[in-house]
This record gives sequence, structure tokens and C-alpha cells, in this order.
Amino acid sequence: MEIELIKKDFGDKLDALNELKHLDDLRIEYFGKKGILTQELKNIGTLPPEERSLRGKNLNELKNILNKTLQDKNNLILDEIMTNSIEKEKIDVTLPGRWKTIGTKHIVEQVISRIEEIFISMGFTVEEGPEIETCYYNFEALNIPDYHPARDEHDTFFFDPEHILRTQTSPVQIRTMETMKPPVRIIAPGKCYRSDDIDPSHLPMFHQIEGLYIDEGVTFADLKATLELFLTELFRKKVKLRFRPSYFPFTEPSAEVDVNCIICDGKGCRVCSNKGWLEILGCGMVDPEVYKKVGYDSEKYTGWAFGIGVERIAMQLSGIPDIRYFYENDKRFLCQY
Amino acid sequence: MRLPLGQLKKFINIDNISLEELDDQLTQIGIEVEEIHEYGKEINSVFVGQVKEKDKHPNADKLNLCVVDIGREEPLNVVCGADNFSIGDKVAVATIGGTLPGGFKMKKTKIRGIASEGMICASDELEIDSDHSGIMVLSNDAPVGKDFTEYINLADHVLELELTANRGDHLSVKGIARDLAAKYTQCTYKSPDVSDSLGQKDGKTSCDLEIQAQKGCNRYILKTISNIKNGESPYWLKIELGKFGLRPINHVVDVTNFILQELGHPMHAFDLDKLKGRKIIVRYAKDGEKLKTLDEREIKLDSSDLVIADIEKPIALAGVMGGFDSQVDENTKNIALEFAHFDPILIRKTSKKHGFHTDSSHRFERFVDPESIPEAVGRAIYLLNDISEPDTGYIDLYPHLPLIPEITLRIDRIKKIIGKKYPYETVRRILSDLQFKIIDESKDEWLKVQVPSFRLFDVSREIDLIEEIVRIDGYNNFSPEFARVAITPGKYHGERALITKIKSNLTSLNIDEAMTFSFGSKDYFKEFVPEDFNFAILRNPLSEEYSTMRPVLFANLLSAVKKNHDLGDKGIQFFEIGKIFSMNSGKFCEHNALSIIMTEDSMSKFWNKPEEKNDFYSLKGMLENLFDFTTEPVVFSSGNEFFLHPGINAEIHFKGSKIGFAGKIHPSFSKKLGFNSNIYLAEINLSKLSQRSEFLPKFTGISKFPGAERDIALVVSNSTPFSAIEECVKASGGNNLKWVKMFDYYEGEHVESGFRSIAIRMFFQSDTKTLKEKEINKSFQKIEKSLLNQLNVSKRTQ
Repeated sequence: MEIELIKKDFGDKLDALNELKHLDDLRIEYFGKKGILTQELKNIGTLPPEERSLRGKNLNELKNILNKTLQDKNNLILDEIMTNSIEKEKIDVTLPGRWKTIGTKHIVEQVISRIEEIFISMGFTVEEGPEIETCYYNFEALNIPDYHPARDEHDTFFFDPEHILRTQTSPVQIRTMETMKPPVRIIAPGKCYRSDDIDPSHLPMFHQIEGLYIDEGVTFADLKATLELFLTELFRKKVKLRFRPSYFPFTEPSAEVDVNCIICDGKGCRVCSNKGWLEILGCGMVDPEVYKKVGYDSEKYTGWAFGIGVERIAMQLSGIPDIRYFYENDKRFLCQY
Repeated sequence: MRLPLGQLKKFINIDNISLEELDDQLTQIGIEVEEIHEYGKEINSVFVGQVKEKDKHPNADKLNLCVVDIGREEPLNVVCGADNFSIGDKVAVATIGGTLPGGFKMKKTKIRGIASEGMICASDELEIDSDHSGIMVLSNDAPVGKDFTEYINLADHVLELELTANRGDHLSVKGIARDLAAKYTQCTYKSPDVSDSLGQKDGKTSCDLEIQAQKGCNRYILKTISNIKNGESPYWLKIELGKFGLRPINHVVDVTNFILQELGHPMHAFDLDKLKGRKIIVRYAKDGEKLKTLDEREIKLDSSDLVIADIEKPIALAGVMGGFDSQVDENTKNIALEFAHFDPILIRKTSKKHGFHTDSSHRFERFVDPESIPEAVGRAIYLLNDISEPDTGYIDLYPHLPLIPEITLRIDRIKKIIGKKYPYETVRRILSDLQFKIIDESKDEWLKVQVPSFRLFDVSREIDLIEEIVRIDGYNNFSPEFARVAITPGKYHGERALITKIKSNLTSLNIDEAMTFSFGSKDYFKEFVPEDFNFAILRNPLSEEYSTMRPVLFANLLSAVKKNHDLGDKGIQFFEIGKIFSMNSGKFCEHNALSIIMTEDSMSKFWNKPEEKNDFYSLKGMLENLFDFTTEPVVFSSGNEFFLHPGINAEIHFKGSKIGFAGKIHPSFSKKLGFNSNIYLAEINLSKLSQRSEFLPKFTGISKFPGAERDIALVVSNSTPFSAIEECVKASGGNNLKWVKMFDYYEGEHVESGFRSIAIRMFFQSDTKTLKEKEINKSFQKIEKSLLNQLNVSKRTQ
């Protein structure tokens, strides 16, 4: 057969094809053992010797061309198949994802952790103490004797005349100082209890964080500097502090610290009762009576202590209007944080 | 405490100071201003008027038609129901458009056909007292047309103060003014008007006084007043009492109440004619004696209560409350006034014991200055001057003079505490302004001072003086400055480190943290502990519901789960970490525990995927992942907690000892608590867990040689736990056995009842060479042999 004729026939057949299977049939029809082209190549032997060389050369060229065409068509079909399947696999990426969620730490724990982080970074260690305390650690050692009016602020839960639920985290101060020589640099987070009736701003259980720093050369000025740094870190912006003289039996001088209201920037709003200041913590210089109780030399060592209410900070930072949410454990509350 | 600004201005000249600044300055010296009330602001457009005409109402006998001049061009026509006034009298007239207390708005009205252009007010309508017997007739010199509240000093600012427990001297107008005067050196402090003389010590008194009590009463001044005309107090006094939040009673009682607020001195008036034997005795009560107090409670006394008595019986609980039977009323003719100083602790004990908290006990508990008692006596005589003739004498018994401490203050000590250097002159000036008496000094080095008698409760040491210096100079008057100290690393001590780690692992395992109260109901807790459990029980709980310290963590946590369950959230996974409590041979015990509760419904239900329910193995798997940080793995074995399902009940062990349990809550409990699905719970004692301490563990090497797996399917009796199979494989596997895992489990059809099919896969590998087929087979056969010989298992044939 004429080369051109073979080529044309092949081309026509190939154009009519669009499936891989038929492509394979075509390959066999031409290149198989009994294929057209195979046959033509076999037939070279029957030609006169002078024609064999040219015929062989032409047929081999044709073979290469057809092979290439076949391969191109093969690739074309494969491409089409992939394009089609890609088209079919398209999904709605806005459908909800599937993975387990991450659990939520309790808001109180989140605030405590954050405060711990800040103080650990300043070289404080985190200490703990028992929740069932003795009157000695909760009151006497902290210079709050029996029948002192300061006890009015501590509505106390009693187990017996000696044992109570601690009303503050301050007993950890004493417990730490009893086992440690200065420098003492600690914070102590934990639960405290007061027999307050439950209302939007009172619960019988709440959390406090105590801070204590005692060494040679520790001053009220250092307390100010430390608290300023701490609160700036906690509120994540530069805060203004106001120190007000106050009274805690285990510190002298004592102070209440106000921070300029983070909601209104001190302009006055509902959260700060239009005062521009939020009461944030109590603090002071450790009273010599406390040193006496733990056997420290108050001439040599000076130091400060502070106590901060965790729920109150959380309420202020997050704008929670009612303290009762904290321990109702409604997931709709817990999982907001 | 309430502080009327008008009262404060009597003691200190602060006219040039704005209210805002005063608020700020009081706060700066430690007197917190909680709120400022605009007293009398409810009364608006009430003016002083003069009655010009007064005629009977044509349609009503009991009404008067008045023409009242209130300083306007046209006088007002006013209908008035009272008749206790005459033409020419000055009265208070509420005009149309004005307001009165209680939100009452004045409108033009017709009364029996005649229009009234205002109202002539009775004193109760102005909330001065409760008198509605007639209208208020003002004094003749009242200026017509003047705003009534201004004229009568009713309009005022009242500061609500929050005072600290150590400053008894702040509990009066005088005390606040005195402290403020030390801050405002440009403002002068002025003493109150008092009678010149208390009388003569040997002059006439109508009553005897004897202090029998050895302790408790440090000073007692008795002043008798005869032929008193007791009755209503003048309007000014009633108005001032109103600002303090007090109601007028009668003139004598009002004066005692007023002096308490003004000078901080509790005093008491007895009706002399009601006393037996005209004698006042200060003594301790006899056990069983009774007293009816002013609030008409009958209290039973004992020998620790200090009382005031006549010769027969107690007539007052000293320093706390007067007696009902000896009280002064409007018919009282002769009185005995008590001005005393009682011991703070004694008063506190007595008032706590009997459940009293009075203005008087509040002050005595916080120390009342014994030295300024005579001033209070003089003030009382002055204020009662109009209605009485005081007897010429008085009795002053002063058995215990106060100890006045002398304190040395070192100037350099102030800097050591505060961090700021205070000049000697400043220190000296502040102490003098606070009325400390300087008795010795060495310039720039030290000062020796005597404490004023009104500060004996809170100042006795050098540190207390330092506080005074900083307080008056200003807490905000020195700069923050870090102390220069050696750096030490911060870290967690104790279990808090472990707890932090657990919390972070649990939240990444999709468990939410809850926090419940540490106490609860004893009846409820009893369900979860053995009968002989020793609870830690509060003596004074808020209620039974909060009476008992939790013996286990999961009990309250279950309630939290139940709450959400009832709200319709069925997929809940909660954990809590906190203390649990008990008593052990008389001692209180507490330790940290972890509880985890999961409901059967999974928290993560996914579209297009079959829902996976939680079961025991979900809980167990979660726990195994949770404790990836421990020094040794936690181990589970069959358990027998009575509140768990008997067959789904595991003990958790760590280092050979039991640290907790896990399982499915017993169906009977589940039903009782109202759950309608399965609940899985675990509780672990954290004090027994230990965390790996090294930062990085030792590298264990990675084998370069290929390994090979071998599987075996076994039919295992239900009585043979999987852990036994695992142990047996490990024990007989030799060094080349790297791990063993269960990969298939089946029970049911084709497996004999009482048995299950368990397929396990083992992996063999050497660190030093490629294992030969023969070696692996040898190890595997050894394992197979051990399993079949040692345990009740057989190879599965199909």
C-alpha cells in the first residue's frame, strides 16, 4: 500500500477515536503481530532488492510518525479524563469542617495562669496552702487578733473553734516564711471562702492570688513598680495606678490600688460607677508583727504583700455582670472563654 | 458612715474647696468616699411665705382659704386643711411645678370648687419628721421668698464614707475634720460650741455612781439634769439627724444621737425617775439576769456581760444598748446622762454574743477617746440648754487612765520602708499637724513623740508613724522604683506544675473545665462514700445544701453535667481539678483530685459520618493520652466501686498503688440522678502522681535493620483479661519483640459463648542485624506455646 494512503487511513481512524480502549485497538491494528504496518514491514522481503532500502526507510519513518501521533492522542485523552474528574470533584469549601474541638479552661483558671505567667517571668515561685486552715494562720499570725473589728470583713466558715475555711490566701505568706529564709518571692493562688449570701456580686467561694516579696532593700517604691508592670502586662496596655491609704492588719502602710477604668479610659462609665477608677487589689508593706511571728529580723528585712480577687478581675476584663455565672457551669458561659 | 457637708464645714473652714476636690482629698488620706448624695434635692420650688389672709372655705368647714405672700408680685391663693397658724405667720409653701419627697409633683388643683395655687406644708410632707398634726410654722425672722431648703439648711451634700476598721477616730464629723485639717494645713480646725462649764465636781447631782467592775469601764462621767421639758426637737436638729440617716425621737434622745454622730461619743440618757435607788452601778451581770433592751428584746445575761444597773437590776447593756424600762420619753422630767469609755474587746464580745450591732457598740469596739469625754458633756449641756437646768455638780470616775505610748521615729527608717527620702521638716510638720506631741528630737536623725489620745487604737509603733507621714504626704507623691536584687528563676512549686500540665493536656483532648463549689449537701455526698466515711462538716454553713466539704470531686461535677444535660446539651465532657476533704483520726485532710465525666453522646457529631458514641474505652484512651508525662504508665485493672456499673468498673494504678477509678456510673445511680443516657466517669488522686522531671529523655536509638510482623488469632475465655495475654506475650517474646498490639476483636456468632476472639500483631526487630526467618519463627512459636500453655486460650481455626 502507498505510504500516504496508510497514513491517511490511520489519521481518519484516530480522529474518530476518543477512548483509551479504542486507542489500544488501533495500536494493535497497525503495530500488532498481524498489524497493517507490521505486515508491510514483513513484505519488504518480497520486493526487488533495489526497492527494499527505500521502502524500509519510508515505512520506518511512517512507523515513528504514527507512534508519535498515537502517543499524542493518548496524552490528550488522559488530559481530558483528568480535567473531567477534577470538574466532578469540586466541593463546597464552606461546608463545616470535621475535627474535634479543643476544650476550654475555666475563665478563673485562665486568669490565674496569666497572672502566674507574668510573675514567674519576674522571678516569683508559685506556692500553695491548705484550704482548711487554722485560726492561727488565717488570723493571729496575720496580726488579726480575736475580737478585732477587722474580723468583721471576714465572715468565716468554722469547722470547730480552731479550724476554718481560709478567708484569704494570706496564710500562705506565713506558711512560706516559716519554711524559707529571705529572699522570699512568691505568689499563691487559690480558693477562699466567706459566708456571704449568694448575690450578683457575692459568692461563698472565690479565688485570690497572694503576692509576697521579702528581702533586704525592698520598698514601697518597689511594690509600686512591680504592680505597675504586672497590671500593664495583665491589661495589655499602659495603665495608670492610684494608691489609696487603707488598712490591712498584716501590712503597714497599707493601700488599695485603683487602675484607671479600662472600659472608659478613666472618663467614667457604668463599670466604674462613673468614677474613672476601678478598685483592683489591696497591698502594703509587711507589718513588723508578721515578721515577729515567723522569726524574721524586721530591722534587716523589708517587704511587701498584695492580694487580688480573681473573679473580680475577670469580671472587669470581660464585662461579666454577675459573679454567679462562674460556678453555675453552664457550657454557654464556660465555652465563651 | 454618713457625713453631711454642712456639719463638716462647722469644724473646718473648707468653703474654698470644691466638692470634687474634697472627695479626692478624703480618698487620698484613706477615707474612701463611696457616694455623694444630694440631700433634699427631692424638694423643689418650696419657698418661705407669709400668711396675709385666712378665711373659712365656703364649701368646707375644715378648710381654710389663705392668701400667702411668697415674695412674688402676686400673692398665692392656697387652700389649707390645717388650722394651727394665724395671719402673719411664716410658712413653707410648695408651689405649682415643684416637687416634694416621694416623687410628688405639685399641680394646680381645685379643692371643693376653689383653685389652690400651692400647698402650705406640714413637716412630714418635707420628710423632716412624721408630724402631720398641723402645718410647719417657721420662726418670725424667716425671709419671705427665700428657697425653703436653703433657709432651713435642708439642702446639703451627704458623703457616704467607707471607713477602715482601725480608725475609730474617723467615726464622727469631728474626727474627719481633724484628720482633714492635717492634710489641708491652710484650713483651720474649729472646736464645737460647748457649755463653758460642766459644773463643779463637788456640786449637786441627783444620782450616785459606783463602778464595781474591776475591768471594762475605764471612765464614767455622770451628769444629771433636772426639770427638763422634753418634747420634740427643734427643726434644725431633726433635719441634721435626717442627714445622718436617723429619725427624730425626742429632744433628749435626739441630742445623744446627734453627739454620737458629731463627736463620735456614744452617750446614754436614763430617766432618773425610773431608776431604783437613784444610783447607777457599773458591774458585771449575774448569771441568769435579764434585760429588756430598747428594741424590746429580752436578753439573758451572764457574768461576762458588763451592765449599767440601778440598785435592783440592769438598766442597760454597757456600751451596746439601753434598757427599755429606763428609757427617756416625752414625759421625762429628770435625766442622768452617761458619758463613758468601755473596753473595745469587752463590748465586741458582748455585742457579738447577743447579736447586737449598734452605732454605740460600733464605736466602742473601735475605741472611743476617753480624754475628750468632757467635751461631749459640755456639748450636751449646751444643746439641752433651752429646755433644762443642769444640776451644779457632776461625777467623773476615771479608774483606768490610758497608757500614752512614746515612740521614736528614725528618719532614715522611713526611706528604708518607702524608698523615698522625706525631709526632716516635713516629717516634723506632719506629725505636729496630726497632733502628735514632739517630746524630744535630734534634727535630721530622729524624733520622739507622744501619741494623741484619740489615736491610741491604731498608733503604737514606729511603723505606724511612717504610715502617717506617707499618708498625709500622699501615697501618689513618690515614684515607682525597682529594688536592685539578685535574679532568681520563677517556677511552680508543688502540685501546681502537674495541674497546669494536666489542664493543658485535657483541653487539647477536647474536655472542658468546670468549677464547682467545694462544699455541698451531706445527704447527697453520702451516696458516694462508704457508710463510715468521716466528713469535714461546717458548723455555720449558709444552708444544708452547702454544709459538707466534698469527699469526692465527681459528685458536684455530676450535678454540673446534669444541669447542662437538662438544658438540652447532651454531649458533655467535663473535668475539674480541686481539693477533696475528709477527716482522719480527728485531723482534717485535703488533697488535689482530678475528675472527668463524659456522656455517652459524643461532643463531636459530624455530618455525613456515623456518630461515634463514647464508651468506657473512649474514657480509658483519653486517660492514657492524658498521662503521657508521667514517670511510669498508668495501669488499669478490674475494680469494684459501688457507684459504678459492676462490670464496667476499673481501678487505676500508678507505681503499684491505686490512684483512682474509671467506669460507667451504676444504672441505679444514673436513674436516681435523672440521666437517661450512660455516663462515664473517672477520678484520680493527684497527690500520688509524679511527673517526669528531666527536660529531655535519653535517646533510645532507631534500628537500621528491617523487622517483621506476625499475627495470631486467639479464642480467649471471658475470664482471661487482655492484659494477661499482653503480659504473657511480652514475657516470652525475647529481646527482639518490639511491640504487641491488639488489632481485631470479635464476640458473637461463630465464637463459643463465654469466649471472644482476639487477634494480636507482634513486631520483631533487632538493633544489630537483619533477623532471619528462622529466628523470627522461633520467637513466635515460643510466644504461641506460652499463650496456649499458660492461659485459657486456643488458636482460632477459621
